[in-house]
Amino acid sequence: MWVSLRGIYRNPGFRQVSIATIVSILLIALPYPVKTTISRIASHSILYPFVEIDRFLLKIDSTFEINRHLNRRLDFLATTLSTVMENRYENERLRKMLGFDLMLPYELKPAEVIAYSPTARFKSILINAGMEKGIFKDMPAISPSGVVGKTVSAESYSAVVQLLFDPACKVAARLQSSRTQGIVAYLGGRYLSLTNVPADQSVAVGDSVISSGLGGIFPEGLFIGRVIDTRVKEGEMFYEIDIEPGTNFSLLEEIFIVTSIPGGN
Amino acid sequence: MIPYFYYFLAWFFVIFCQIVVSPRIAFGDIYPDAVLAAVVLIGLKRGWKRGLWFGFAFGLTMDLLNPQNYGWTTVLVSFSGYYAGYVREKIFLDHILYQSLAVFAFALAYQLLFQLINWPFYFINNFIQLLSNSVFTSLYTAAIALFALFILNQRSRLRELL
Repeated sequence: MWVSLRGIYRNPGFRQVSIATIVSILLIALPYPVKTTISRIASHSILYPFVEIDRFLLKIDSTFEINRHLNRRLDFLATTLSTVMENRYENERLRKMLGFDLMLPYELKPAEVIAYSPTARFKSILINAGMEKGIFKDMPAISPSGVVGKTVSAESYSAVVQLLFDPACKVAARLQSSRTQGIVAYLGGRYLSLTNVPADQSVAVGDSVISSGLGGIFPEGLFIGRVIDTRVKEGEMFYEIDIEPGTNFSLLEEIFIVTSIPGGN
Repeated sequence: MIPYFYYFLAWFFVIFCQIVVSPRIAFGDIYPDAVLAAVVLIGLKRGWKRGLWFGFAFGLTMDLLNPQNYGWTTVLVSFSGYYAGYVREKIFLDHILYQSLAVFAFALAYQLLFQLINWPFYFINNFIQLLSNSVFTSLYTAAIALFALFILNQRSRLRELL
């Protein structure tokens, strides 16, 4: 028995396993505060590089996650901002139109522009209001910036508005300061023209051109545009007057149709 | 004789895999035990002595991270390394499939023993759940060991060719 025990003891495998086991048991038997202290020291010394690499990679992971989250949020906010800005512009436009509506003595029906005529220069537009709102043919179309044109046809829920830039659209007008009368029409080029103004009348650049109310469609006093150039060719009896319209026709979104004029038909 | 620098390099690499890589290739709770796989493979390839002491060093390092189970990982991983060397002496396992099978068996035994020692009541009450969890962890560990062995074999073949 003694011999076999000595044999086991002398076996190098047994000795080494015993040493490893005893050290492990000693570690297991250590009081918990000592274990915690050793762990803390170890994680700040020999395990420090691993812990730091792990933390660094965790930071990268979380940075990626945060980045993805922020990108998603950014997309959402960009969309929201776009909607808010659009609402803001619409609000401003509607406020302006509401003020305009209250200012004029006419009965106005608001309408949204839903289509432009597909020509290079917009000559007519389609609006989303028609006979059901009391809109019929030959009613003036105006915007807060000035005269837009007149309705040329009306359906139940839509109507076509002929713009001032259509050569067939003519408006009886006068110069606001000199009261000289004429006819606003489009004769080609970039601007409208005020025709039939005798050459002996005084015409000032910058003067406002307003509707005279003599044509039977447009009521008196609606702003059309401003005089930007006047010419009289030699031997001619009438001025050639260029007018810049008050309305920017390419930016039209909402307009009013004048459905009734006090004292008019 | 392998210089001590290589021992240190092996220790650094295995601990790095265990602390940094393993959690990142985990499937939920199932993650490969790089330390055990390395110790068993060292035991199988280099004998019980290296298996024992590498197991001791790796186990002790892992214990330092977790004061609650102090010493248990050291003793279990050391024994795994020792018995892997013992298996090598009794049955010569040259094929990588047998070696990864041995890794699976050691990993399963280690997982079950570790849980039984640390949480005996929880282990008995939830045996089936813990067993299935241990089987999956061991399978994953064996798969990683198989991959490592395959890479090492390819490297050896390349060296022979050159």
